[in-house]
This record gives sequence, structure tokens and C-alpha cells, in this order.
Amino acid sequence: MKRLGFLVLVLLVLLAIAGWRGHRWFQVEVLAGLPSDLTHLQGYRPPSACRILAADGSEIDRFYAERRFWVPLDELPAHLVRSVLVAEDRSFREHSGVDPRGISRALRANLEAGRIVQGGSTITQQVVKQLLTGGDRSYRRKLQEAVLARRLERTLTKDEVLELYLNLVALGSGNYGVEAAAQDYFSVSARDVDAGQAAMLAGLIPSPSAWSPRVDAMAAADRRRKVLAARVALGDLPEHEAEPHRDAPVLLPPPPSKAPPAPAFSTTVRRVLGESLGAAPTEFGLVVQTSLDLPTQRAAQTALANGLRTHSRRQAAETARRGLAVGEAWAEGAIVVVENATGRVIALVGGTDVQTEGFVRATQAKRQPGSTFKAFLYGAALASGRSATDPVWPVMEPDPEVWVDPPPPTRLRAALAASSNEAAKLLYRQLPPGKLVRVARGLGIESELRDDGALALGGSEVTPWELAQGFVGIARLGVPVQLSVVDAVRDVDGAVLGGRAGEVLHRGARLGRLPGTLGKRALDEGVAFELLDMLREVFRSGTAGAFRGPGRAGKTGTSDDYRDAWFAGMTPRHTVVVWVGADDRSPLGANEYGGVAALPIWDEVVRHLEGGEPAEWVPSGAAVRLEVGEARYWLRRGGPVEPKFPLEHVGAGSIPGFLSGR
Amino acid sequence: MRRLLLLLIASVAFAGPLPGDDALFRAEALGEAVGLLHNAFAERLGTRRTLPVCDDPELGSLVARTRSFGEAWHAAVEDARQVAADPTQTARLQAQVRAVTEAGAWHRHHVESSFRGCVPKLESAPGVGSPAFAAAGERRGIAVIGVGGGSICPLGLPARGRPVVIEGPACVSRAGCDCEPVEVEPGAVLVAP
Repeated sequence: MKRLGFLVLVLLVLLAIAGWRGHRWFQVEVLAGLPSDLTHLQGYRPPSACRILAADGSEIDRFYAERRFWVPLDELPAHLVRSVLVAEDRSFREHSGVDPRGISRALRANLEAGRIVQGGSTITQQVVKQLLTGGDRSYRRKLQEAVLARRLERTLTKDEVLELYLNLVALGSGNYGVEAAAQDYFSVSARDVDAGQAAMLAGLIPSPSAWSPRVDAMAAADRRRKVLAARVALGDLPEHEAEPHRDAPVLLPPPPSKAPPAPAFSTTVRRVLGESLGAAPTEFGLVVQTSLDLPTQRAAQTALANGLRTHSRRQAAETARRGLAVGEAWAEGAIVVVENATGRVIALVGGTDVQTEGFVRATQAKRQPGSTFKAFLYGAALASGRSATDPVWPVMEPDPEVWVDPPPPTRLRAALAASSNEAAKLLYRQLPPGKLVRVARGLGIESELRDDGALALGGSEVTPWELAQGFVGIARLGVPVQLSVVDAVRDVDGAVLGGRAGEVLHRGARLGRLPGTLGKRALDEGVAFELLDMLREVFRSGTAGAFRGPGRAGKTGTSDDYRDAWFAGMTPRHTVVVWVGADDRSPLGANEYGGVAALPIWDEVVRHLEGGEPAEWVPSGAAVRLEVGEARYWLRRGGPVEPKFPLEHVGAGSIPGFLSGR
Repeated sequence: MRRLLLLLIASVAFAGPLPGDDALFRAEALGEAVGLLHNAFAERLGTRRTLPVCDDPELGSLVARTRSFGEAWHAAVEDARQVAADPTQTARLQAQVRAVTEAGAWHRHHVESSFRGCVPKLESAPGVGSPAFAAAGERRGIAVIGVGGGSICPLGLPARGRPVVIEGPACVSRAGCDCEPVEVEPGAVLVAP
């Protein structure tokens, strides 16, 4: 008896030691390091696809780390919710995070099968696994899941847990959450799935990669049958409602086209979002409203393709040497279309290959702008006190033997219209040091500029985007605005988080600032209007004369050996920059001037923008009209030269009366 | 310490608006209105130099307004010359002196020569849209005239035919300021409804 008592005592001591050790192990190995507070999961949204919308609201692209679109639980149909509960966690509404009956059921099934065939995890545990513990399948990790599942259910309501789950769950073929999967497999929103579609989605959850209908349609159909049968068996779905779906063929829509309608624009939006908002767009599944005008984008793409085909025909010998059919484009191009009033980029073409994203020539190709840069040179000259009516004396080599009468002077206006290099070089030498660079920088040219005579002729490389930025500053009469592609950013629920040139806030936290900021004045209003009027002369009597029209202003540009052809110009509403060149910087061919290779493309885009109703510039209050014969010009008011009204020095006395003149 | 405090007060004082700033701001706004009205006049007149321009009510309105705004501009520039003494204001002041002198000459040559003998009245008229944009941190004044009595709201300035400079939406009310201010363009003549 004594011996028995001793044994019991030893057993009790051993049990106590084991219990103590077990408790210690549980404390140290399972509980240690687990978060006790899960309130950060209240209102949590998993990373979702960032949707990019055109100005008309249509979706043009989406990008994501995980292809997921958040959808609130109360917008999902009962069929879908019930199917998932029946397939994954029938006691979800009863248990408090862990389901002992489910675990024993899974244990029994696994023992009978001799391998793991059932997980026994509740929906809450699966959420914990995805958000907190990860995919490790050890018993320690299972215990941690159970502990955290109970804590999660004390923090979130059942509906909140279910909503998270339905949006988190992997459903195969790169789809996360029921909305992404429903769109991909059935071309409908998860809000509109029927009983059969709901059953298929729910049935995929245990093995989404293998059972995805895009991978194994038979397996997916089998899973659908099983979930429908389970719902019928539970009395959750009437037999006659399940019947039509049981053996319905699995008809998948074609995979969505990967090519966005404006790849260069999409790439630029992504770059801008990355620079402005970091990872937030996909982290929070933001909806990005852009400035892209799809009809203009299509018109620009067509214009570029037409222009490059025509170039290929003009340069037939070179086209044949390259092994291409005549009319098959071998040059590349880029177009930037901007709304003057706002600086919004409404179309952006990065090259001829509009199917794929990649190198965006419009924003990345640095090329010599040729004579388009003279717009900044003449702006700098006007800002330094010169006038459009000033003479530019030709440079003559003196000959001591023979006296030659100097030719008549060219006026600044005519020199710019004719794109005279001689006049540009002379004008540059007369500028105060650094003036041209300061004016170009002020208007938005950011690339490195070598301040020498070659700069006056466009010797420093810039991107089409930068050139558009600079010309928009002229069109806005000296006030630059940062070009922008994003109008507004909204969250998944549609609330506006921020807009162009403003801060973007998400739940009180600052995500960043969007481009579109107004710049400081770079040219006086009168100077800018005088310059703009000189650029109109390019159409009236200069190198763009073949495409003259109301309200048109701009400048042609051609780099050495016809390697780059440009036209940068504006109408009262828009600024459009067109570049044509070869990626390998080979020449475009003889006589491929900006006015030949780029201007017809510009004209086609502008004719689309005008829609048959071209607008004329409203004269600035800082400019005064000058008439010479039939021609009408505008000079800045109070400028250095006003031939009809030479200003007398106004000393300490009174200014002549406005009406009386005395 | 006391010297440091005085230095601080002085630097704060210097950072504020200069005495001539308001006068220059007013002159620039009036000058813009005159420029826009002159240009609208030139565009409207076109080649009709020989036509009886007195019978054209739109030309008449433009002439009446340029006369009022022009005289007010001239006065504003003279005021600015009295008070704008800071070197930072010199360039703006010189530009205004040149501009008002030139505009006066242009007015007498083009407007008064075409409209000799006509005495158009100041009547309700919209302003002239400007193609210009305000730069970051730039104030932009809008010169308008209120006629027919009452007040130009929300500032409560008298609507008695004298040009005033505002910086935002405005309207004219006969009593109090019970009207709804709306965007207006430079050179507008506002009357109470």
C-alpha cells in the first residue's frame, strides 16, 4: 500500500514537472513574441490593385503586387458568402476563432487517409495565417494561430473577419480575393455571381493553383459540384436551384488584354505615383483619376503612325536598305499634348509600339532640340530689353579692298520666323551671361544646359516632355506650371484623398504630394505675349507657313545631319510637341527638317484638338497692337520700341495726361 | 539683448508690404484693364476706320470704359510715384510710367481720333477675359467700375462710377451686401440688379 502511495506521489511529481515544463514551453515557445493587441487590423485593407482611369472614368490600366480589388461584405451576394462558409468553415458563426469539432473531424479524416487531407483551420485562423503568422506548417505555428485567432475574434466582429477573408483569399491564376477571381473567370463582379459561380470560387480555396479553371477546368467543375452538393445537403440551397449549375460547361472569357490603350502614359503615371506616393497606390488599392483624353490619345497615335509611314515612303531607298517594305516605319517618334490652362497632359505617345510598355521616348529620350530652342533664346532677348522690331545686323567679314554695302537688317521677328542661325548666334552673344539658361530653367527645362553658342541653336539635349513644359510656360504668358498626369487619387470606397498639385492624405497620414504645382513667373506677361506673337509669325511667314491657321504658334527644329526633327507649338488651348528620330541616332534622311517630318504630325493632332473650330488668342492687356501695312503685330506695352509713339523721358514732372496729353 | 530685439522688430517690419506696394498693385490692375479694353477696341474696330463708329454700342462702351480706367490709371501711377521709393519697386514703377505714357499716346491716336465728338455713357458691361495666368504667390487685381449707386460687395466700395480694384468675386447691391458675388473680368461695369 505504501509502495502504491509512493508510486502515485512520484507520478504526481512527474506530472507536475511535465505540466510546469509544458506551461514554460507554451509561454516561451508559443506565446512569446505574439502581438497581444490586434486593433491595427480594424479597418485593415490588404494590398490591392491600383486602378488607373482615363479622364472619362474608363479603366486604362491597373498595377499590383497582388491582383486584388477590395469589395465590402455587404455588397457580396448571399450565394457567395454561404458557399464559402459551407466549403471552409460551417461553424464560423458559432466558434470563437478555433473550432474543436472541426479539428477533431480533420484529425479523424487525416488518420483514416494516412496523410493530411483536411486542415481543420477556421476562417479566422486562415486570416491569422495570412496576415500574422505566415505559411509555416509546424504544430507550434498551429498553436500560435489558435491563440491569435481567439484574440482576433475579440478585436473584430465576425463580419469584419469574413470580409477580410473574402478579400484576402488566393483563388488561383494570380487572383486574390473574390472580386479579382470573379472578374477573371466569369467577367462579372463578385457582386453579381450566381450560385454556380459562387460554388466554384468557394471550391477553389483549398488548392487554388491546381484547381483554377484556367489551369484545370474539369477539377474546377468538380469542386463546384461538391460545394453545390454540400449546400443542398445542408438545406442551404434548394435542389432545383443547384441543378442548372451542377454540370454547366466551364466557359472562360479570354484572358484580359495586357496592353493598355496608352502604354507610355500608363508608365508615366506609375513613375509619377512611385515618386510622389511611394508604395501607397498598391498598398491601399488606390483609384487614380488621370488626365488622359482617350480620343486625343488615339488621334496622336494615328498621327505618329501616319507621319512615320510617310517618312518611310519619302526615304524609300533607306527603307529598302533596311530590308523593310516602303511605307513600313523605321523611325521612331514621341508626342506630348498638354492643356495650357492647367498643365494636364492629355495624351502621351512614347513610340510606335503602342502594345507594350518600356522605353518612353516622350519622357526619357534626350535629344538635341535644334531650333525649337530658339524660342527660349528670343524670350531671353526680349526679357533683356530687345524688341521683336529690333534689327539684327548681319555679321560681315570686312574686306579692306572692296567696300560692300551691308545688306538690310533682319528684324528679330523675321529672323525667328525664318529660323536664322546667323541671327541666333549674334543674338546669343548680345545676351547678358547666363540669361538664356535662366530663362529656359525658369520655364521648366531641367536637363543639363551648356551655356555656349551651340545652346542658342539647340545643342543641349532635352526630352520632349521638358520641351512641352517650356512651351506651355510661353503659352501661359510666362507662368510655368509643372506638367501633370494625375488629376485625383481616391480610396477603394471612392473618397477623394488628394488632387493635382495637392497633398494626398490617407486616414490622416500624408502619403505625398502630386505634381502640377504653379511656378514662379519666368517672363513678364508682355514679353511672353510678344514672344508668342513672334512664334505665330513662324506660321504666317516662316518655316511652318504651309500649315498656317488661326491661333497657331510654334517653332520647327532640326538637329545636325537630320538626326532629330521637331515641332513644338501651341494653340490658345493646347501645347503639342512632336519629335521624330531614330533610336540609334542615325539620320532621318536628306531634307527631313522639322517642318517636313514632325510638323505634319503636329498638324494632324492639332486639327483633332480644334475639332473644326480653331480658337484665336485673346490679346494680353500687357501687349499693344502695331500695324505695319496689312500686317498686325503685338508688342509689349511700355516696351523698348514702339515706333509710332516714341517715349520721351518722363522726368520729375507730371506724366502727360491720359486724355489730354498734357 | 535690447539691440537684438530692435533688430528683430526691424527685420519683421521690413518683411511686410512696402508703402508703395498697394499703389503699384492698383496701378498695375488698372493698366491691365486699359490694355485689355484697348486691344478689344482695336480688334472690334478692325478696318472700319471710315464707318460711323459712334453708332456702334459695343465700341461706345469700350471707349467710355477706357476713358474712365485710363484717367484712374494715370492718377494711380502718379500716386505710386509719390510713395514707391524702395529700390525693389523701381522697375515696376518705371514699367508703369512707360506703359501709361505709351497707352495714353495710343489712346489719343487710335481711340479719340476715331471717336471724336462721341460721348458714350458708362453702362453695365462684362469685362474682358485675360489670357494671362497668375504665378505662384502673385496677387492679381481686377479693376472694375460700379455704377448706379449702392456698394460693390463684399468690400463695400461705393458704386459711383469710379474704378476700384478688387481681388475676387464681386457684385453690386443697393443696400447692404445681400447679393451673391460672382467672378468678374477686368474692365467690367457692374450695376445692382
